[in-house]
Amino acid sequence: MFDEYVVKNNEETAYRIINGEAVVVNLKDSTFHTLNPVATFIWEQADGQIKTKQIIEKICQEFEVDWDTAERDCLEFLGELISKGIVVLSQNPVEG
Amino acid sequence: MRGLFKLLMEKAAREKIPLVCHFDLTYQCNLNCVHCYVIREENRPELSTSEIKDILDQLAKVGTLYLTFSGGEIFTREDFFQIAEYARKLHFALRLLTNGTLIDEQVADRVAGLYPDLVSISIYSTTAEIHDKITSVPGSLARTISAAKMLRDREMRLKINTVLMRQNINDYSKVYELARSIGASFQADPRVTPKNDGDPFPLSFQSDEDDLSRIWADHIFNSQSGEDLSDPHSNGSGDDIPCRAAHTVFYVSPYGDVSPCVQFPILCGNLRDDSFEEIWYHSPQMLEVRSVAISQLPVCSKCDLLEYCRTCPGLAFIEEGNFRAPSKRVCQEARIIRDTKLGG
Repeated sequence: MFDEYVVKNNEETAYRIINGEAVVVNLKDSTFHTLNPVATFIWEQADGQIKTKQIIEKICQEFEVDWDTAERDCLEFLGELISKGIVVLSQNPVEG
Repeated sequence: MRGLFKLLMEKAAREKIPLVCHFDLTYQCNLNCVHCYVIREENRPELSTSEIKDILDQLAKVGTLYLTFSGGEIFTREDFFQIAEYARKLHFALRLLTNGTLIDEQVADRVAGLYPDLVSISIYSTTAEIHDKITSVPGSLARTISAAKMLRDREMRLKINTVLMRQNINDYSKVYELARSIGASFQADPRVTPKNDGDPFPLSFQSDEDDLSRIWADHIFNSQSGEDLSDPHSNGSGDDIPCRAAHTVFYVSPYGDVSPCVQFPILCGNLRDDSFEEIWYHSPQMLEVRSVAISQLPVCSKCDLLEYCRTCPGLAFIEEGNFRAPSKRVCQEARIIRDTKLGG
């Protein structure tokens, strides 16, 4: 069921990808985060339209891992991004 | 967080990523501050909206993350929000420097919608006669304080800046209290710089050495919050470079001129003629500034004040025409800091 949720970067962020790693500023509290390549990949996909299960599919293709591994990593990193306040989940696609 | 930021700055410096930009969008201003360094060149048109958008596209592409919009007064540009909203679409972390006098409730709402990383407002004194005399505009203090409160009402991160001069040297503790009372951070700086055409007139307002010694010993002055991300002197790298100018920091003028720092007026190129990448990676002036190492500075490298020094090749360039020379102003400041620390 979690797989059906839509993932979106929090609009109160700024970021750049530097050497394959996202550098993200949470503008709400001015905290600063560097993401590893998998978290960066999730970050780049999180456009407010894509569902968690679609991100897992893409991780399988991009990193050549099986579904279970991709799902475990995806949920782990998504949890981290959500706890940092830089990614949000919703049940429906998000405009803009 | 600071540790991570330091690591990022080190990485950016190693890889020559222009992470921090100070972009003066205009030299137009509705105030007329006596110490202002800006000289408008009436025969040169300022960058248009589309030119600025094109520059922002270039900066996003090369990795610039922190973008400070300043001037002049940014809100005198009718297209300010068009530019700033475009910058946010490109995912810059925006910092805004303003005098606040053009901010009303509607403008404050739109500023809040930009999610700025920081808004900085200059307040020189809490006494209207002193502040308004510095800005040359009666009523400006009241409007600026009103704006500061509107921004804080919207929970924006706000910093009150104060430039310490002869006129207001005894007022900063009250400005500090004002900042605290509205939940803003505070920064005071005694450095006054010549105008950008070299005219030393603003230096006539510099505080004297006794006053500088007094303020450096004051806990308010010394307890200013952490590292200023946009301050090229907050080096953070601990290596052999005098400051971050030309390493991770650069300046763009309203005419598209690029230099290593707002306080380092050595022209490296113009964005109407060349791409930013061309200027950043290949301009002889930029490369020369980037090549400066503290250990190779003929005077500074042997100076026993070095550990107390906020080295500033830009000020040296302005004062001496030579960015490898010591700046008299910086030497004076380092001496005062040493005496303050050693004297307890």
